[in-house]
Amino acid sequence: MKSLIAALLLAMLALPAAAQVRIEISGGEAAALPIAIVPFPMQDTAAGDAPDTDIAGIIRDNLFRSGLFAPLDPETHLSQPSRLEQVRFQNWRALGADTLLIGRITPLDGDAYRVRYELLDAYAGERITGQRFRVTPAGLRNLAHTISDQVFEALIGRPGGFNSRIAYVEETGAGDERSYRLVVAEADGHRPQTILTSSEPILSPDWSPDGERIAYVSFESGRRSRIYVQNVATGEREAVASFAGLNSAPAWSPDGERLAVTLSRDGNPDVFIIDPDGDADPRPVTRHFGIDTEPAWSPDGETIYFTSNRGGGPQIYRRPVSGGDAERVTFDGNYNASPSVSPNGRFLAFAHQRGEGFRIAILDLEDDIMRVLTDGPLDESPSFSASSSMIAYTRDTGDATELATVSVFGRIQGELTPFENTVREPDWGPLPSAD
Amino acid sequence: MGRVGDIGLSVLAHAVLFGLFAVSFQMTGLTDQAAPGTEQAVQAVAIDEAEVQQAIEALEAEENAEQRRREQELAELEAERQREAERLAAEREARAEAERQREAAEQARREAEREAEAEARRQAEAEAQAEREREAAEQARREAEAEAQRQREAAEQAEREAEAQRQAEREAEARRQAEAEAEARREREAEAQRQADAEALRDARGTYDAAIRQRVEGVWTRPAGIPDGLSAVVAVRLGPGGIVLSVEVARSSGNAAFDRSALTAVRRADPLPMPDDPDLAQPYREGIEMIFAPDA
Repeated sequence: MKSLIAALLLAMLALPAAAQVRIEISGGEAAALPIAIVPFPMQDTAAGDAPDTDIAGIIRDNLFRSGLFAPLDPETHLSQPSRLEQVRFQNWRALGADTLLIGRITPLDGDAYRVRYELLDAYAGERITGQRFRVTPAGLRNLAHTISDQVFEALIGRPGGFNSRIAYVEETGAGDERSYRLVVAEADGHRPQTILTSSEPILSPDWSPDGERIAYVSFESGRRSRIYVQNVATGEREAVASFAGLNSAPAWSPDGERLAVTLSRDGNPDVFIIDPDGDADPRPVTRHFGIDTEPAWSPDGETIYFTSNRGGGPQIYRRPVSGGDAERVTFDGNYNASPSVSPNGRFLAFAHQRGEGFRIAILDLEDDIMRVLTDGPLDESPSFSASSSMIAYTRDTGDATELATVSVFGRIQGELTPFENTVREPDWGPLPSAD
Repeated sequence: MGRVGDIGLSVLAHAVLFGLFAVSFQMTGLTDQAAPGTEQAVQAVAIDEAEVQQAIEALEAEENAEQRRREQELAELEAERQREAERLAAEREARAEAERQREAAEQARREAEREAEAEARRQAEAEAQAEREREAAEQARREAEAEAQRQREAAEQAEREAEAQRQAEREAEARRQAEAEAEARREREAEAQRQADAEALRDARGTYDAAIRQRVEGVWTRPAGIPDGLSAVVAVRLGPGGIVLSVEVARSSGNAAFDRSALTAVRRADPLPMPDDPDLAQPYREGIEMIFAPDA
């Protein structure tokens, strides 16, 4: 009898759980999110001309290049809704869009526009986010990046960094006409601005973490290398390292308080830490008879990755800033150089020689798996984007080198903009500050 | 003359005797007495006065003697009377004494009798007491015996009852055992049936679970570059034909993009495979929990 009661109780207890169907969904696919980005129509054409800036197009390119989105070809759109009530979600679902970005531009008095966008979940039939802006025509590109950032953050869960900037060195002319320019551009390569021109080489630009300054190497003074720190907005600059021998490869610490540099003042290039004001004595990070150069900080500021030929060919090593043994990090291939650590700390990007060519590869620092992202033949100078999802690098087109990006996921390669000239050593700047 | 003299002497002697007797009597008090009338020989002294005178004196003596004799006689009479009185008194006394003695004896006898009676009574009493005690003892013995008997009987009765009880219990236990076995058998059969049913249901359910899983996994794409090891639980309610009535996050992964991808996957998979059999479909309509864990 007792056992019967127990069995009944058990059955009663088990009943709801048994009735609840539990299904485990595993696998699935990490994939670029299909999104439809509908062109933002001008609402009142009588009030003024539509702006030249294709906001939807910029957003589409941005999201595509990140590798995390698969924007629908606008040619396939069946309609161009600009308001929530105009959206027929099943149509967008039928096209395969999970999400839908719509917006509209309204001209305002005083040469300004009101831009409004809505990010919609095509399956839930819900609004995910949206905002309204007032911008000048000159601000439309930045606004497109801002909306890209907001979409990215809403759907991926972290900042997209589309409003960040890229610094690089552009080389023009030949012979005596050769000139070097330090250029700052939008993250998609648009609107380049030259902040320094020199007849002597400029190398290794590196953004300060606050995005206000750039450290770089210039040979402008008598063919000797010097490290400068220049304020991007004001153009003011200061030489922070001009020791005997080589002064090169500056890299800001994540807190912006220090610079890791390569100095050969003791005869052999080693990595040192200096004060960004150039006041304090350099503190050595490495002391080795081999060449140690191209320092890069881990995001926590505790480790410095660097290139060294101490093992023969160039390989990437790391060493705690506080001291300790250098540890070799790259083993695959006989040439791995120019390290860049992703801001999320997960990946190390570097130039990797495979066969005849040089390609951009990444090493997953968690599971030590290396992946080659680009096809070569001469890809160099990787620099992680602030979102950690893209890498800017240079590639050889045969005639010149150009700036390109590759996404960590999906290996989506994009050229930022057609360059007529040779570009070198891009450095992807930080996220714009919150204000 | 001799005779008179004898008499006189005799009287005198008597007197003296008497006096002595009296004195003696007086003195002796209540002593053993001689039988009345008995006289004892008394020693007397003879006085020898002049013979001459004897004749005149004889006459005078005669006369005196006569006188004396009369007196004597009187005295004797008196004495006799006295003695008689005394004898009587003595007799009375003796009788009284005897009476007293008799009475005393009687008293003593009575006393003795009473004593004897009392003794006899005591004896009898003691005997009676002893008898009573014997009886009481006997009674007690009998009672004890009866009690023992009763107890024996009670014990026997209890034993019989206990035995009966045990017997009843053995039988009841046997019955219970039989019932329990029957019950267990029924349960086993029911359980077997349930398991068979459940298995059939599981098979059917398993088929649909697998179909649903396959359907959802086939349309689940999640953003690349989000952290590894995430999992979210999504609650799905299905309507007839497997249409998705509602889908919501029951337990977030902590990553909004991941959660959204799970919700989108369910909506993409809408309608989900669903049994036609209403009984089979019931659990699905009551709610499905989907655990989205790409690395599981």
